[in-house]
Amino acid sequence: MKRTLLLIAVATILAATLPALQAQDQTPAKWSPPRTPDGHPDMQGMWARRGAAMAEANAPKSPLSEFGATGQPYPTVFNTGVSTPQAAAALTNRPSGIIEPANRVLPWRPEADAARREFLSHMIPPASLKYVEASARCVPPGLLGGDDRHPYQIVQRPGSFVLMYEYNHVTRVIHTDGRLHVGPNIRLYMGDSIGRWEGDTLVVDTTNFNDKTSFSQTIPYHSEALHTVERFTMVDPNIIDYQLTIEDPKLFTAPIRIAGTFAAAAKGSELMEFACAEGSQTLPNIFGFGLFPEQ
Amino acid sequence: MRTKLWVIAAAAGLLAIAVPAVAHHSFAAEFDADRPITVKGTVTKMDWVNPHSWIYIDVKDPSGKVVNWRFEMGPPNALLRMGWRKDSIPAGTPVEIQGYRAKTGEPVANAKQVKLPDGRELFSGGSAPTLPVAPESKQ
Amino acid sequence: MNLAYGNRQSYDERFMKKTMVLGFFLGTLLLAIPVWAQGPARAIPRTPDGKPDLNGVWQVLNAAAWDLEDHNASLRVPAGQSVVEGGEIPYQTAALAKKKENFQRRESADPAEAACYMPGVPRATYMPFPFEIIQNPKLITMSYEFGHTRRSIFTDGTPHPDGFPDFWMGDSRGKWEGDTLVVDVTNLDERTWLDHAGNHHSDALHVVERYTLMDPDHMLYEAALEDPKVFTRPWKISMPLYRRLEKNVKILEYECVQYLQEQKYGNAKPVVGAKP
Repeated sequence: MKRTLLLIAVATILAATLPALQAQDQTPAKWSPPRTPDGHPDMQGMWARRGAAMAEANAPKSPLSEFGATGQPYPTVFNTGVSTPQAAAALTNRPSGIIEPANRVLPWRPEADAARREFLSHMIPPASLKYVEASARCVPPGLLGGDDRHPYQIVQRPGSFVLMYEYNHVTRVIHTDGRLHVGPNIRLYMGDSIGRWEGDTLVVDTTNFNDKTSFSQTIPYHSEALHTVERFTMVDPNIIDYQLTIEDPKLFTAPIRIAGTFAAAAKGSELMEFACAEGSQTLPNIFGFGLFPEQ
Repeated sequence: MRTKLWVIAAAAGLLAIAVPAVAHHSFAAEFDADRPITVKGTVTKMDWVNPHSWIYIDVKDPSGKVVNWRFEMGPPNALLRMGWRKDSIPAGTPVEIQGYRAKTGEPVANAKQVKLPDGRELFSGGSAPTLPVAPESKQ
Repeated sequence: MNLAYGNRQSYDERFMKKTMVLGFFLGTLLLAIPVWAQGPARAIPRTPDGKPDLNGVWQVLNAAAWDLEDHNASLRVPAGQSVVEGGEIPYQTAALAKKKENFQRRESADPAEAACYMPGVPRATYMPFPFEIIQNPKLITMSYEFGHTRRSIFTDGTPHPDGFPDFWMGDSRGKWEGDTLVVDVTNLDERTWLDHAGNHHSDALHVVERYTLMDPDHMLYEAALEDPKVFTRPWKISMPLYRRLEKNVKILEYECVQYLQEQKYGNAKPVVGAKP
């Protein structure tokens, strides 16, 4: 009787552990996202972005950062809907900021590094209009200047993936219908983006930038040679993994890779209007006159 | 119902990550960090426009003359999502504002904190009001 | 000799009847020929949820941006016939005086042209720039090339939020009535103008827009405006929207604010402690 029981116990244990033992040899089942009618991952919804910024090591001291953003204790990142312990755990330790080069020392061309340091020295107080921080002049943010205290919204249609920034009401319609970039003489603040799906990752190629947007408080401009590649991969119901590769041969000798995350926004979030120039007193404060009698 | 959602969101919120915040206005170019001020007055108007909302207050100077000050605040969208509403601070509400003066010397400043008669502070995340502040209810 | 009596119709009456029937038949045929010549009507495209598919890039072809009412041309301003039903905007007396004052000052006082502010609703629709409609079952987004202005039209059944401030592009909530998208717009900032001629409104403005596809490439745009502080009664505008048919057409950029800043502040010196 005892032996039978022992045999049954051993058999049960084996039966329980065998599948697990087998599974160790296989890659774990990957989570598969919900899909749009054309079969691609459905990333639609409201998102809070974090991490997609260019904080370089050995940065020059920038007079812009002396006071922080506004002096007010606003939350620095738009609230997410991620509040369960499991979902929150998935968000911790995600790659963030510059990941290549790993030491965050950017591969500057020496003359470009010197030029931007010289430029920074004229920003506070600003010597003229072009030295006023780009975001304070309501310049469209380019790919790095978006203020992440405001959410993003993704809408997908056959033939395009639309990324809407609440910040400065910028809309990026990323065509995935196989069309080519616009001609080289068309220059855009937000560049010209075309996308293609590589499996479940949306790969976005952007060219045709003008040279008027800013990367960060220590990198106040870039050149028209800028070329970027972004990768959007939904890894969790609440998380889109975001990777951005920057190449600007006039500034840097090698590409730079930046990582960020789009986390699901609080349920019920809607895009709200962000009117920039309409409410900004920055230029009247600096130059002493406004465009309208009231300013 | 929407207000509740935002209050919950604000409370559950916030996985704070040390990311350099994008400064969407050039605070350092417009305001003087060496000239902090605290001003008491009565609200005349609130302008809810991005990127900065504005709050206008009548302030009596030592000679008794009333000067209308203009204080620049942050994006109203954040305030709205915290549950603040257009009538949360009606005209006539007495407030105390700490901030930094504009470099031009005009009665303009950047508000660091706006304190209401019941002690609530406008920018402290999570202190979403459930009732608007009524001037009659002040002590 | 007359043989007709009682129930029997006269020869003349029967002839008349036959002629009328034949005439009616031939007339119907004649009327139908133009339709036959056109070919079968082009069905409007639909989204998977069965609604008219408004996706695409659209633009008006009229002079409403300069002046909604009948107006003559002047330098850099094309002539136009009124898009207002009934011809004239029904102003209250004081509001009409304000409009005339706005018109005199328009080059420096028009918020959209003089300051590059967002044009508001309905003006954004008929600015002389294209806009893109991005349609999703719960949200229809209008992305205007002028100043990359954008507004969200929530079609998820939610109401206008309580206690919100005004926005330059208002708060828009939409629903389908048959094949017409009906959009209710409130919370419109009083500072926008309705056109470059100084036509204006107050913070009480309430706009109801109707977007109806007439065929795959033409949409009828109608907007009803009511503002008891400014007009004596509600009034309406209507105009066609034309699909931009170029291959690979896309919304480009008209960064009005940047161009204007360069013009106005490009050579200006800061008032405090400028380091050259």
